[in-house]
Amino acid sequence: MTFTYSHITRDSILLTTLTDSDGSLVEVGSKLNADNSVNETLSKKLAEGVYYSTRTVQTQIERTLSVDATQVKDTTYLNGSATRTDYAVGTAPGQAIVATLNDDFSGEVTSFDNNTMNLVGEYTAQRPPYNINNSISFYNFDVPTDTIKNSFGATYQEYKKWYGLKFDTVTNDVLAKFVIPESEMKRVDVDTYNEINALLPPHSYQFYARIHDKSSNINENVDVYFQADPSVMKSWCTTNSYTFPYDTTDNTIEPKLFIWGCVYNTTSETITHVKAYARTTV
Amino acid sequence: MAVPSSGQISLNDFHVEAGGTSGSACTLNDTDIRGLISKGSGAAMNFGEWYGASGLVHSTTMVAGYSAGQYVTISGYGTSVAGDSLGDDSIDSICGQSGVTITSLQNVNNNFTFALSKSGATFSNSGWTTMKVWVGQNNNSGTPTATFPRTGTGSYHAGNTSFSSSSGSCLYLWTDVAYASAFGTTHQGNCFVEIV
Repeated sequence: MTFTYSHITRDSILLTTLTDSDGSLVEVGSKLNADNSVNETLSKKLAEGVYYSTRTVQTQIERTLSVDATQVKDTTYLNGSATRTDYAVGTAPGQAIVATLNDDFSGEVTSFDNNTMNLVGEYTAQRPPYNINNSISFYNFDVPTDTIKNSFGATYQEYKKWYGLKFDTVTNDVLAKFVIPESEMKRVDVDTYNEINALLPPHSYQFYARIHDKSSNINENVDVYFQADPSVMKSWCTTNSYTFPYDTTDNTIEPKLFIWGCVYNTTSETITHVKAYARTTV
Repeated sequence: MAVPSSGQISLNDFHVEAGGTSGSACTLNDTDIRGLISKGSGAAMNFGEWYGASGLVHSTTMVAGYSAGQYVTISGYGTSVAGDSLGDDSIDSICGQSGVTITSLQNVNNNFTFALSKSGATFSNSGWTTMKVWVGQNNNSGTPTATFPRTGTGSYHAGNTSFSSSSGSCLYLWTDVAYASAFGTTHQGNCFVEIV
């Protein structure tokens, strides 16, 4: 696999082409600089993202869809090891966590398990803004209700069809993670959107999550999620001195990967953590 | 709908047939317009050649699958959602190939893909101009819900347009496409697709 790039104009449109040594071709509209010259870096990155979208990324998507959503066990990898496991609410481990939520946080939503795709997980303090106490995460695979939006001051125009609540098991504080599509992130904070995209590796299908507290404050840490080729991610982490999220000697993880995530700190303007998510069933 | 086969015809008729917007600027020498009657740039042409000219490459009904799962939402026709179907998945001629099969017309996490296959074929980024999509109906009456250009920017995708090919297949990808534009959020909802 060796890529060759060129920039051409066809029908008055600037295109960047990627040709693989096996003859595969990708054509994308070139990314331009402010002076309308071709931005080589962003254009190549875009072309490579498209290239992988029909290969390993497509495999990741199909694998995700093939798993029984009601029996899901998702493992999050961070800083080289597994840090959290999320379970579908109908599974035995999921039901145990739901029981805790019903005991301690029953007023937050009408039901934690009325959607069988919902996920719950317990985790220890690992990274900002969840780095003080142990927490429980709850992912609801419905569009957030107006009650939830109002409780956390969310006024986005577009939402993905899921959101998260993070319950601090010591203080009982609750944070909400609102999940928004790429276009909405671009609309609400185009500078952060551009900064993140300048840093990310070639990827596909990106979306974002912003964390709100009950005073409507938005946390300085923004999550971006995307699909990408594992070898590209390894190379990118090495080049940028990011800690790779899982143990690469464990060859059981990579076949189960379904999405990547990065934490971008809007104050330091850096990616602070790289996460990988693997999916199996209970 | 083809250019009328008799009577008064206009440059605007040709433009609309080629996928352009009625009343917008165009010339007879635009690639998409002269392409309707297979003329090269600057070639001589007469009005008689335009009667009945059609830019239609393919049209089909679709019963769109819709699945909103954990982290992945899919709408349209492809291989991943049970219950979806295309009325006609075979295109006579497109992208420099004849006898081509549509393998997907689907919106995955707001990324719309149009994939084609033919064993051993080498596809080119050519042979059509615009894809028109009607969501919620099984015919092409009225204004399309959304349109997608073969290259360049458009009104219904906020992101990029790209083309990729390898031996035996090719794929167009438009990023940042709303489900309302392609192909709705109703499982087994009716849609209609026209490629010109």
